[in-house]
Amino acid sequence: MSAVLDVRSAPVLSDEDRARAEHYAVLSRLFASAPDAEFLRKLPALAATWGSSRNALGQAWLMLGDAARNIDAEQLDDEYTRLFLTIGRPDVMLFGSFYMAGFLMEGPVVELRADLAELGLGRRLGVTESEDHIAALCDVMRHLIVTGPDAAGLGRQQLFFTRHIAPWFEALCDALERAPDARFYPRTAALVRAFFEIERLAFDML
Amino acid sequence: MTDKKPENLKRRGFLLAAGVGGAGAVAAVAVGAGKEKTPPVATVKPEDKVGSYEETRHVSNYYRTARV
Repeated sequence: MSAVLDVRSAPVLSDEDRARAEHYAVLSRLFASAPDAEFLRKLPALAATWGSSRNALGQAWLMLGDAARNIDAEQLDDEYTRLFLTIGRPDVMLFGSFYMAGFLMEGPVVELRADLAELGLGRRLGVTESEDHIAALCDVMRHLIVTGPDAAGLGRQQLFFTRHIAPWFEALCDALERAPDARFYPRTAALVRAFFEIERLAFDML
Repeated sequence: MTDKKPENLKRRGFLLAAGVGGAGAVAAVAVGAGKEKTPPVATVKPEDKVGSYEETRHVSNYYRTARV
């Protein structure tokens, strides 16, 4: 098990797995905290790479690149704080348990911790922020992709995605699209939706 | 690590057609950016007690929420 989780001996990834890992990294970065000026500048470059009018994911990238060009880091920090960190009830919840159980830190988190422990991640996750945050879940998926592109690894990815992301990402996207007085984050919803929908369909092919 | 099973070729074709593929030089850029600013999920501080939470903004926000 430890060999599987050793990033230094990470296997060579296929193009599509590298692209998937990349998308999880971007989604994690988008939601872990407000993008800083440096990351904000990179988004249009990423959009130029991934953007396309031919499919939903490409169109979502074009929209995100456009959104990134039309906001600065300070405005974005304000928007992030207002949408996700407001005292009381934030406009948009980024925690899966809220959507899956109707309340934070409910049953889904208990199941998530058990699954993470099974993957050898539980203990280390215990000292970071709440495990059901969308950014944390994306980090787990990226980790599973980078360390396990073989059939067994794909099985682990499929199980984790199916149990902990698939049940609620659409509700999260709906909430992002409805976010009041927001210029940037509603325009991330299409990317989240398109990418996770692709993941879901692709896992169904296994 | 190439898997020749038909269903995996089908899956691979689907991913590439859907736009998930061809990660080039740009790929390392975003991952690098994420690494610098976002602690990896597996981040551990040895001095922390097992099972204790790091007080991130999200977590402290959750605690505030819970008191309301």
